[in-house]
Amino acid sequence: MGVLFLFITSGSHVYAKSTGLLGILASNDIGQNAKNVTLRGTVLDESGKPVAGATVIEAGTKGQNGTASDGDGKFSISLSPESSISIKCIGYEPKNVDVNGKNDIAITLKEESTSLNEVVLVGYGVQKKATLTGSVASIKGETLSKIGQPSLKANMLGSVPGIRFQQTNGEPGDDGGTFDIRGFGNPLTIIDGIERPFSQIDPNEIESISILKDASASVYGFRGANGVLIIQTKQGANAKPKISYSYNYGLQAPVKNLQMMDAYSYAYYRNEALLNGGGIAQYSNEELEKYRTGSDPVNYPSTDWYAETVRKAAPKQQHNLNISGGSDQLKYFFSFGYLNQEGILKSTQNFDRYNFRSNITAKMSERLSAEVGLGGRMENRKYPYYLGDQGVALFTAIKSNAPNQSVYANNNPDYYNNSDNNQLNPVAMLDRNLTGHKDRRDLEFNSQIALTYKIMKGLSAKALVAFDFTNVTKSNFKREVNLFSYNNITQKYDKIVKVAVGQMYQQDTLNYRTTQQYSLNYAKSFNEKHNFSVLALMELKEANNGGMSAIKTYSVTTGIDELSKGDPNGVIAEGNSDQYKYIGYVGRLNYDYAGKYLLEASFRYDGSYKTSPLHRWGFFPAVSGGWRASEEEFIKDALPNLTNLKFRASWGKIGDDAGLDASQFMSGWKYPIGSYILGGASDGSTTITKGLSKANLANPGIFWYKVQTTNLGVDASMWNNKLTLEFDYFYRKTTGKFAKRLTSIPTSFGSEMPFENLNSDDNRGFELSLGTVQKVGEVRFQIKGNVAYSRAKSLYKEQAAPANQYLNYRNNTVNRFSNTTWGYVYTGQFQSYEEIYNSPIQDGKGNSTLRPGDLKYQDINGDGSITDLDQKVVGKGSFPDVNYGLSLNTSWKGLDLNVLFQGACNYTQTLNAVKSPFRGPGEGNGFQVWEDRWHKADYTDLNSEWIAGNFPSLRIDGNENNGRTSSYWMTNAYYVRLKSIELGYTLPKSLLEKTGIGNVRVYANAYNPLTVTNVKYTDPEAVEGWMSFYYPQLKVFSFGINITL
Amino acid sequence: MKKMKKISYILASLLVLFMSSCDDLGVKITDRFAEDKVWNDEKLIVAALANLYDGLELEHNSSYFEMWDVHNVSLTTTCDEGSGAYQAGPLGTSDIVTAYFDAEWFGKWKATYEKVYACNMFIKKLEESSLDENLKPAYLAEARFLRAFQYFTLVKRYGGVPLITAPQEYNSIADLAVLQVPRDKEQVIWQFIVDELSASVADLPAKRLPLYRSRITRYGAYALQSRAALYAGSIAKYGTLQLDGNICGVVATEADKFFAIAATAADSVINSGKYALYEKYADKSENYRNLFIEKGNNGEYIFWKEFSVPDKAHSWDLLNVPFSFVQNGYGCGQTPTLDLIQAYENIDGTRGTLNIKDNAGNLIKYDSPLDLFKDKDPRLKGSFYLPYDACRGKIVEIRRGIYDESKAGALRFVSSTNPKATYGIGASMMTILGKDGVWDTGDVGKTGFYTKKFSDETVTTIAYNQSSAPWPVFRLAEIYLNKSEAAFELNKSDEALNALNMVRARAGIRSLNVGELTMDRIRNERRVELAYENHRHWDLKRWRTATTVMANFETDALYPWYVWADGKFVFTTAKAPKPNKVFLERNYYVRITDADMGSNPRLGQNNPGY
Repeated sequence: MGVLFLFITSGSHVYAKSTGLLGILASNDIGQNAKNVTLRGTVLDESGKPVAGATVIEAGTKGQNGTASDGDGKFSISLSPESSISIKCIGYEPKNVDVNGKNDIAITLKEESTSLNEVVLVGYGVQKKATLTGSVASIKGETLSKIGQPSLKANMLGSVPGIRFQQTNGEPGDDGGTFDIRGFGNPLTIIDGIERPFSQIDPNEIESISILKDASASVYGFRGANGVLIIQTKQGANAKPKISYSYNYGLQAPVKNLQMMDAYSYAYYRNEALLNGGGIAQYSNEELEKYRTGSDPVNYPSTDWYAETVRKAAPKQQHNLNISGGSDQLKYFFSFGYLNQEGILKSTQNFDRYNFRSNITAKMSERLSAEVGLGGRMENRKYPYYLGDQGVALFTAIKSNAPNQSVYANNNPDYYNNSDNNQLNPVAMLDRNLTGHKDRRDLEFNSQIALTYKIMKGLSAKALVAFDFTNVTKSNFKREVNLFSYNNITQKYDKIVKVAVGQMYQQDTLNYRTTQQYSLNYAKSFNEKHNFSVLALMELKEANNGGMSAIKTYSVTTGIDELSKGDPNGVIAEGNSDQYKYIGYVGRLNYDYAGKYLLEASFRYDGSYKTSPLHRWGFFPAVSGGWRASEEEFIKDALPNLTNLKFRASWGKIGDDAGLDASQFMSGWKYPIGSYILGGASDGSTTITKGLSKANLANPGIFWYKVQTTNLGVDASMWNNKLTLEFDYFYRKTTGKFAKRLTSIPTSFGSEMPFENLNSDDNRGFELSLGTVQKVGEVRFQIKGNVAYSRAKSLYKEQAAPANQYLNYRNNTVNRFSNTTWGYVYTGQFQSYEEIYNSPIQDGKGNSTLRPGDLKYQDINGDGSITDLDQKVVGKGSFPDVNYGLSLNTSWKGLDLNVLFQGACNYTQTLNAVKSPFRGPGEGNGFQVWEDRWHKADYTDLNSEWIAGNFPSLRIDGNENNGRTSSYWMTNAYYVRLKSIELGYTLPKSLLEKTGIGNVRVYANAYNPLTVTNVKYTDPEAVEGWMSFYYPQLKVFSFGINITL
Repeated sequence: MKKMKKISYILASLLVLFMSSCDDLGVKITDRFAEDKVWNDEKLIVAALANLYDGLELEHNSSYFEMWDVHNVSLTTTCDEGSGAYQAGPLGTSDIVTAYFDAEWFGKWKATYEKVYACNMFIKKLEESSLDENLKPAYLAEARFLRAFQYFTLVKRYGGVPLITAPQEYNSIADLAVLQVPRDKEQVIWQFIVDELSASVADLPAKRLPLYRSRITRYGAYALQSRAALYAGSIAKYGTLQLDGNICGVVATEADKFFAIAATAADSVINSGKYALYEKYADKSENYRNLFIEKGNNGEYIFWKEFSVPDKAHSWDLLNVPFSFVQNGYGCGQTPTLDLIQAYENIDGTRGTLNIKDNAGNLIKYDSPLDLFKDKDPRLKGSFYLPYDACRGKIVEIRRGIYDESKAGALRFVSSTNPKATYGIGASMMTILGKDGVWDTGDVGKTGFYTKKFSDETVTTIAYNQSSAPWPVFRLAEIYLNKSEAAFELNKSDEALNALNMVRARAGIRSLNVGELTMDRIRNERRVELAYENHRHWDLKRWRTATTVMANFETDALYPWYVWADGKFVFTTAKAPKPNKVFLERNYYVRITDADMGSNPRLGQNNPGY
């Protein structure tokens, strides 16, 4: 049965858990027998929730007398009063119950924790976890919806090993940041069998996600080289309609708030910094006093720009309504979701998302069935004009604006103060009505239809056609902006033009994709020992991308934000289109001997449009095998507590053409490249001529790069799954990566080089998960921990022979791990001028620019001066080598608690933003942390003694010596985050009985409430480079309710 | 039976779909023209030319924008002409030698050779094409001019470089040795430029229609020849031969030959009758100023680069507008040094040192700050915003403070570091500092002046890519000055004087007589007439005077003070808070980067001193 089930559903669509199986079984009801009684019963899980779709079969009827539980877990069956029934449901342990003449019975099924019968999504099909030979992790949809973040990437983090994601900012609607599997680069994402964008899908629509991490991804050909995420959406069930509604309301706040100086500190420390640099003080003592006391708030204000622009908390809410059910012939699942996330800025910043999905399956006859899937979403992002860049512009302005500037000129709210010569006033920046907006709408529409035909026993054919489109519309309207400066003498508001002419940018892109899949599945068992299944599939993918954009200037003061309302001149219109096309042929054979010895062999013969017509097709084989040692009698005898022990190995070869243009195999002339004004009309006006330029040299031999992946794994469980273990080791080698010969060809050659298959690198790592499921009294708990390690190394890099040994040491990356940071080795702070004078020269100026407290570096080559030659590897890269997660799920009666920790270590966090005390250039503000600095007891007295501090002494533009990339600014970082903690309570049935409501659960959730890290001053996941010049990560406290009718 | 039919339908349709999808994987290539489409189509040939023009390093006024962000760097701020407002000063520690002259950003090796390849390819493809043979010579001459200009860009930086005059071919890495061309002598490169231009002039048109007015003409080629030969002559005369095989430098005995070529080429332009010094406004300052703002053909420009807002614009106004006129950051990018201000003579031909003290050593009071400059060369006011000059309907208020004679000694000079600080009470209250400076911190101009040349007050959006004042590559005044200098080097004083006085007369200052003519005066004339046009940097280099002028060059400032008692003004001078400029001997040639050196082991040594 399992094999049959497997074959029906291998294709892109999987009837998850119960539905497919039931469809067949439920129709097998036989006629009533006179001597029979009617037994009515309810199937519940351990938490008291009804279990739909459990099969109930009378013993001894060989499945001829059976039924299934409905949406409320209820069933009725007519049987002999002396018999017994067996109740089975995927995901639960099977149970046998004696009828003993009862008419009414309540059955509690025990959930299978790491059930070996669990079915896992694999490429173009499903497999039982027990006989799986590849490295595949899976996550259930409900786990994702418990985290409850808008981005699916964030929801996936931490629960399984190998998924890596660095959430670099918290801007609403932003799901950027590095996301990959095992450090391989952009993974392929498949939704219901088709390649589709996934990050904004509603978790409530998801049945489960599989992550193919090894050669099991080879069947996907090009684009599958970096691993594959397979998402399966929910399907209907043979049950009466089940209506579920969930609602969640949360409050978001920054994980870390910026601490800038107030006006008094700012003025005081600026004075000190100026004097330290040999300059003169900028603020007199009287002025300092006015800042300190706040006695003259108009002329001597103190503004906390961060507090003026960032809210304490911002709301977020989510609704989802879904209905599922069906009959033997027709099953349906409908879902509608709505998300609204406000930004944490004091402005209109909004992310709205509407998701819908409709999956319908119809069984027209015993042989023919059809599936129709429709999914769509609309994402609306509304940002003020100077946002939408992960907050860089605003947070830079917050630091560039001095705290001794006021928000409003003369504190008159009608006039925004021109608080900074360079940047806009941050408060004005957030005023949509003043500065304009940056709005964006994304539409994603997915549709597919599949027909499956059972040709004969074991053989079926399937045709799947999908049509998708993505439409992105951007409307960026920059308004003319005037700020004001109050002139105390004339008592007038002087207008300062910051943006003299407005501008509207509108972009519309459309992306159409079609996918066709035709497949044949065959499954057969011989002697109940030899189990075969075969897949043959053809896939054709095509896409057409196109887009138009236009820019118009607006010189009307209050422009209407429609393109047609702009100026007649200064119009720019752009339009572009391109296509892609792939064809692949897939073959796969699965064989197992009595579920003990497992073998899988597959290939994909794949064609890409990107390479020259001579080299279009590639053959990508993969093979994997497994041995279920626990099925051997001698092991069963020796280790009776061993529930499962499986050894796995896989190897596969795959090609990847990512990053290649479709034209590298030809040369020709590119147009337009640059432009020039060759003249114009005699009135002095100009005509722009666009340029034509020789394209790169042709490389007719270009082909995809090759990736070989080897994976070794062990799965084990003991004491009936009370302890489970999974371990994987992988090694992956990439050869023929695209690179241009840039340094090995003389730079006087002058032609643009083509891409060639030149470089290689490799990647190795391991993953380990350990888990336990226990029940102690009424308390059930499950703990799962995982850790993953991955590191890449360069094996060959096209480069010129280094001119000398030092340059070889410095620049030759071959045979080195790629994630390293070079810098100076910090050895301590200078304690005195004496030490400065007796130390190697660090500033190229006889150490004359150094002060006590400045950073001292190791003179590695011992030449008496600190130069470039004294750098070495002082840290790891900015992305962690090691990622780990720990989840804990426990329930007691109606209460449940779900906790997820996530963390990472072995990476370098560089405090670039803090390197300079003040945000330069200009009059930018400083960080409060710099108050702990070396300084003179009295800054006005040159001879007063130095007092030690953590940071070097203040200098107005920073100090080149102190700002060098050195181990002082680096942290070999780690962090552990309490990513999510959720406490839920399911109302007792007795309360709900009369209301007709099936199930009610209320919960409270905290996301990111706690972080333990050794990274100071900034978030541990902040991207190196702009550090705190970005939209901070968020923590969220939310409450929600799930209701099932 | 029915079912069998169904099966066959399904199988048949599957088969059809299998077959139909086996078509080829080709897609439409939209990013390029195929080779055979281009070279018979004159419109595409002109497009290819546009790309070659676009690849010229014309060193126009904001072409160093990338470095501007970091160090306020331009050719002006790296010589004695000007200083950036936010140029790391003694308050910072940026080392000017490493920041400017040794820095790799200034090298143009790889980028220029890409353009050389483009020129070579253009010439090859055009020669091979089936285009009408009568049309070819003019295009070929134009491409040879453009290639000569690229070599001019290289030789003035690096000295001798590999001379590549046909597109090299590369089929596999086995061809590598052929591509590794060694450096030729500097002298060979100069000679190549001069010869190529001689060979091109006949085929170049003497005049262009307005539609093509900024393409090169015969006289544009002569203009480059005059400048290149003048450079080569100076290097022969003042430089030394360096490196193995004399890769850098020109043999001294070649000096006169090159000066003669420079003079003759200049004469070809001057005597062509196609150009005249711009004299459209009666007011000499206004006239000089408008010369650099007028769009189209102004009659003086021989070869120039045009701009158009917003697609092909520059950012001069954004980068240089006086402090209080800044809208979107930047501004004050290049402010003239007091040294340059005083290099402008007085109208009567006397030295231009500013009279801030009388003979007794007392400060002279002026009714208006502008009165200090009223006898100066009109070009000064045409080139710079002087204290209290008019700008965009307002005043460029440059004031260091208040001079209160009621106080004693140094206390009379009341200044502040806070632009909002005020002096006095009631109706007479005023801010101590002017709204446009001068104070010592932040972005405000530090020298007491701002830049007016190329500044277009009709530009209302002072933002990135909003300016379109054309950039003179060659203009007649330079050709007169080339002629004057070359002739003087050849001891032809009369010719030198005549050419020089043409420029002085147009400027509105007294003509010199032959007895007054010295090389210093010719060079000073060049300094002021061509100020801020990115000549000075190269002139100081070819004269080999940069090491002297910038041995430790102090940027000085002029500080105007408002006299509290009577509303008049007095002035003081001081060293601006800027690092001193140091130009080292090795900086006469630019360092070839490690990447460029490493890519070609046959390049031999790097330039002297590196």
